Amino acid sequence: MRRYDQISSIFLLISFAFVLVGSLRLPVGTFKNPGSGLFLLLTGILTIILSGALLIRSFLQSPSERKESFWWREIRWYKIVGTVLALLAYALILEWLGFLFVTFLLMFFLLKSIGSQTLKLSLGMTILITLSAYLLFKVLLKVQLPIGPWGI
Amino acid sequence: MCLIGVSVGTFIGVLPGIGPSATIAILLPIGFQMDPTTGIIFLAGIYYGAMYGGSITSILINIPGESASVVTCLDGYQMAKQGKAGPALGISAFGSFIGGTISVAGLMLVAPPLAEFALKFGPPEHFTLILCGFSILIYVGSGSVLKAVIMGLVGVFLGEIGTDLITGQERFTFGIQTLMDGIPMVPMIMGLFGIPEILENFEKEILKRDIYKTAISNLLPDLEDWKASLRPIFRGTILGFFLGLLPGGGGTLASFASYALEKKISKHPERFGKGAIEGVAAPETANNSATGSAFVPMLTLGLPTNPVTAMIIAALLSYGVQPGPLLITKSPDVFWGVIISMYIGNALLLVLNIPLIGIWVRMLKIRYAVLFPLILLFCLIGSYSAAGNYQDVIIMIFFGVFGYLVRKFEFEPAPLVFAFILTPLIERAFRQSLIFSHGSFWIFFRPPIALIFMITSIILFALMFLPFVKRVLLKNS
Repeated sequence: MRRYDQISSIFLLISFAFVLVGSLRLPVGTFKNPGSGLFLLLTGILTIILSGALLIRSFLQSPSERKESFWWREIRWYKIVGTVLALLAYALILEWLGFLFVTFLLMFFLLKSIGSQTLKLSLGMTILITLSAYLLFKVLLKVQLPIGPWGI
Repeated sequence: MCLIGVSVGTFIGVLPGIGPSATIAILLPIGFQMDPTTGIIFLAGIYYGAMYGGSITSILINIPGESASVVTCLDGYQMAKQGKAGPALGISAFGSFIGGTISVAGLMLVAPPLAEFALKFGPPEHFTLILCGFSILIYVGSGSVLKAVIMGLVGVFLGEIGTDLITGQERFTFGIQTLMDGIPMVPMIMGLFGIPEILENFEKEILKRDIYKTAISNLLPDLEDWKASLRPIFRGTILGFFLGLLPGGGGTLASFASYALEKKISKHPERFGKGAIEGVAAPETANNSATGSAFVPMLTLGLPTNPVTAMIIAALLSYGVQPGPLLITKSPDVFWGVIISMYIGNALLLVLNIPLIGIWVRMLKIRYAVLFPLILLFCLIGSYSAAGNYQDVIIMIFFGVFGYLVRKFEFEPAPLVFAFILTPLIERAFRQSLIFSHGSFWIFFRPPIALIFMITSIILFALMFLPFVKRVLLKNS
């Protein structure tokens, strides 16, 4: 879609402009004696050129006959955002509260709020999944998972 | 471990909504708990198990378990509707076994001489080989060429983040300790492949599936079925083997190409799409054959041909095993262990899966609303356990969102992963080549090997970009 290409190419142009500036701060060296910044510099230049080509191409495309609407207007974005925020929260409090407790909270939230399951099923599956994961990873596979303030 | 791998792979292949790439990404950390040979056997088993499992849902409920089984829906489901689900499943199993076994034999024959040939490669040959592989990957891929190249370059940039191995210079680490050794591969791959599928599945209502209710019987194809299928199986094996060697090839391309070929040469092409057994036998054989041959460039040249082999390379690197021409001599246990496991795995798939079809069908009843938290949990544990660092989990989530946005804006993540994994090799080869040649780029045209790779790359890029240039010129004239 045209608008997707325009947005993504502009984002890439800006991002790789920063990459270009960053690579020039590194020792670029010469072609006879390439430094750590040379390959990065060439990558940045190429990406900027191709992103520019993508932007030009998007303007050359004929507008679509059907109305172009962004994908986030047509989807249940709250489930996506909710899931991502829950995962971030999990990462941040995992080492503080321990694997068992935090996993229990996350699984219950995902099953009940995101998966829209009944309370009974959510609770039952949460306990089953949390304990099974603990047994599989911590006990059987001896993966080092954080222990909470309760010692488990 | 081969048995567990193929069983897990078949299970994953049966379930729509999660493919072999995501599965391997999620289970990589479990593979790390094993020794290298066992771990690679486990991961390889998942790969070709998933190829088989995907056909079950294609035939029974017209939903492909993974992308390589899409084309099986066309005739497989029609056969099931005509009461021939058994022969469809049976010929799919036999075809997969034959294609997979012959392909492993091919791997055994082709890999050692190819590895010996690759020992003649110097830095310019390595650089041009990777460039050629990348150009083939984009050429045979679907979607926009321009976007695929851009994704590759983004992958190169991401691969350069960290400490330069030659000079020790930090590049784009922003003082973050976790990034000093580069972006951790496992969390990144898990994020790119494990999370976006789930987020995409949230977009749509999961429709109630019509699960095939009639008892499945008579799984052994009869003489007529074999007569109709034998030549397609033979052709599918050959075509799948060669397409699997190509970057961007793999099961999906092989299955589509094989189906198209059978329809083209058939005396009755109108039968295709209405329950022609050749339409099941050929693509299923081709995709398993391609699975085996994909290991040839991966093991002998260190060149991944698709996201799955890229992840297996990531796993090998994490074990401290460098895939490439020296793998056969330095780690023969890994190389020959994988080959033997593939023979055993193919046999196990045939022997186990036919009696277990009833169980796989019951697996289809697992609600996605219960399945997705499990998948996410595997991703979280997997990315944390790699280094015991919560920042790796954040990196995984970041790449999950990134991967989702990449798909929504109509980019493909495969070239990014390909480039990311190969960046250390390609950069080292590039810099070494320029040092040898005192700055002259003509070294990349050094005959004969580098020259052939370079010319191939130039031709392919020209073919890819020519239509765009023509369009611009026409519009301006």
